[in-house]
Amino acid sequence: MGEQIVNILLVEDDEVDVMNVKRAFKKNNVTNPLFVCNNGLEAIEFLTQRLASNPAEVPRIILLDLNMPKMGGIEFLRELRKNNELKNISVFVMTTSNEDRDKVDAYNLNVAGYILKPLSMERFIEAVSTLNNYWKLCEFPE
Amino acid sequence: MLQGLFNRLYRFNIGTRTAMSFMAVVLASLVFSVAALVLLEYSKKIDTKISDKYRPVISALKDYQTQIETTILLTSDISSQYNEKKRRTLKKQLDRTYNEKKLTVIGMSQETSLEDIRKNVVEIDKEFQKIAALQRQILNLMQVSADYSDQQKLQQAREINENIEEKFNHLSARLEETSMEAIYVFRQLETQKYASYRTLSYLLVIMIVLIIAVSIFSIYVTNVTVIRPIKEMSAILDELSEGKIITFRSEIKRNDEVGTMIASAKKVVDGFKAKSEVANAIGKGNYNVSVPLLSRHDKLGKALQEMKTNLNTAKENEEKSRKNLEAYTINLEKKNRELDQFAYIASHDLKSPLRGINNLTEWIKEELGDQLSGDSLKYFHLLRGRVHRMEALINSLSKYARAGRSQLDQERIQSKDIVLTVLRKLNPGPQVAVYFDETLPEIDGNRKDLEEVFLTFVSNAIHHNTSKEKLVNITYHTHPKEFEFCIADNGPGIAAEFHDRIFTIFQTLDRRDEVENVGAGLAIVKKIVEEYGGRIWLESEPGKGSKFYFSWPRYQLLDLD
Repeated sequence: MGEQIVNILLVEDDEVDVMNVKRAFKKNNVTNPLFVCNNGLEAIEFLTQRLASNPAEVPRIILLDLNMPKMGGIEFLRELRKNNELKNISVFVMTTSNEDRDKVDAYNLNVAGYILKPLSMERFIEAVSTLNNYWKLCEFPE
Repeated sequence: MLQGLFNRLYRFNIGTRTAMSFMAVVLASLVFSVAALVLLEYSKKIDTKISDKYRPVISALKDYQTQIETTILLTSDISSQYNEKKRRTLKKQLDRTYNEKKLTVIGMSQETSLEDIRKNVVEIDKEFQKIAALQRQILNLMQVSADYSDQQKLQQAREINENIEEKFNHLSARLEETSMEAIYVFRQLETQKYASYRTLSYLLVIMIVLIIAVSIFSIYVTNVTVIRPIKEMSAILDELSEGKIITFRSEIKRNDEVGTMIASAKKVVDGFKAKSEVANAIGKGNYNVSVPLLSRHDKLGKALQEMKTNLNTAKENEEKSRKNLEAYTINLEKKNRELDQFAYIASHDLKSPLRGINNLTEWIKEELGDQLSGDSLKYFHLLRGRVHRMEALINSLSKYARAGRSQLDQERIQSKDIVLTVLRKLNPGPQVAVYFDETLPEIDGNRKDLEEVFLTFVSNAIHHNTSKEKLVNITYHTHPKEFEFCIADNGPGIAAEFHDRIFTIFQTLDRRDEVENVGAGLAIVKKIVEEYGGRIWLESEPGKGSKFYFSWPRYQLLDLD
């Protein structure tokens, strides 16, 4: 049972945060292909396109920010869970929002985790590394 | 019938009625007096008649009778034994005295009522004249006999005398009869006199009975027409004086002064009742009722009107202020939502670029690597320190904004459990000793809020404590409406001038660039405690430690089950 190549989708509008994730991936030797969408709407479009053209390479993991223009994270999650072919995707929320309401909404929409974006780089890298170990252990359907 | 009489009487007023009864008594007295005078006069006349005429007639009759008897006796004497002196006496009596007596009687009995007596006397006289003739004959015979001693004549005289006595016996009866007749007439007059006296006494009795009857009737009428209504009125006044609201129920209907009084009383009672009904309606908040005024002098009515107006104004003002309050509340809720929004923006939107700055500086530092040295390196550290402090401030600000907002989500909590949780979180070192009252009470509140309160106090008590052996003591007092908690420490103490400042947000007694302490903890705690209706204060002096107090309402929203 070799390591599967799992595509990861990052839905994030802040350019620095995108760079942050990329750097964290690099530091932790996470080699999975990373796709970036700047908001929920873009992400839905990207995923449906992927589903049509190359179903096998649909990202199985999504790193999701909550506060974004056009379509926010929670709204995006709702749309995602409605779609039969996309609802199985594991979603990790990575956000600055410490609101209880956001947390409850997110977990009600079946997220795999809710991570508060720490201010410092080190702690973020730690979080990503933990994630990496976690999804290496996970089995995904073929 | 009596009722009809009363009804007729009630048409007159009391003054007229009193005058009428007085007049009746006066009239009756007058009639009585006149009658009494007439009767007295009448009896006086009879008396005069008796004394002037009848008594003399009777005595004259008696004289007359005696006279006749005397002549008879004299005749008898003479006829038995002759006596010259007696003969002359008899002769004188027969010739003169008898006639005198006879004429006296006849003269006196000229009255019609004495007619019979007169006639009798005339007839008796006729009879007596026959006797007198015989007596004269005897006298002559006796004189002759005496002069001549004629026994035959004497015998003859004695025979005549016997004849006379026989005749006299008859006459005597007649005389007696006449005397009786006179006495009868006299008695009749006496009877008439007594009859008038009797009438007078009857009149007197009738008069007394009449006056008593009129008096009793007057008293009865007064009782029915005056005293009974007065009693009724006084009963009504009694009830009014006790504050009762009554319906006027007197059925007395009259035209006199009492009727006027009852009508006035009815006005008072009805007016009072109407007023009380209006006052009742006003009391129940019905300001549409109109207050009836009894007259333009009706002060109570005017007072009620004024009261109604004032109450109405007050109600309108209240309504206005209620609306204002509602608007204010709505506005306040809007402001709170805005504050929430602000807290959200502060915690998310402000932090986002801040994190960017932080990341970027870190990457720059990484890129430059060894090239950074000396002051530049120090600046980078300072830069990052300020960024972290900024984040801490933003976090505190959003926490402060939301402090106490979760108080609607309450439960009953053991405050001892809260303290234990706080101690577990703080995990104080061996140089710290935290004591707390084992009987810390059960209180109502939001668990997170209470944790925040105790955590802040205990953590302040430990972290600002410079003693070698750090002591924290948590105690409480029970008051009727609240619990009073005290968190005491043996720290450096706080000067009185800072006691107010420490509860203001971002006010700290330490240096500003200490990242750990942004000076929001006590401000947040104060806000939480006050949101629950409690108070917060402290007792502290430099060098004597600090005692932080806060009160917490007992069983604010939950009932004791």
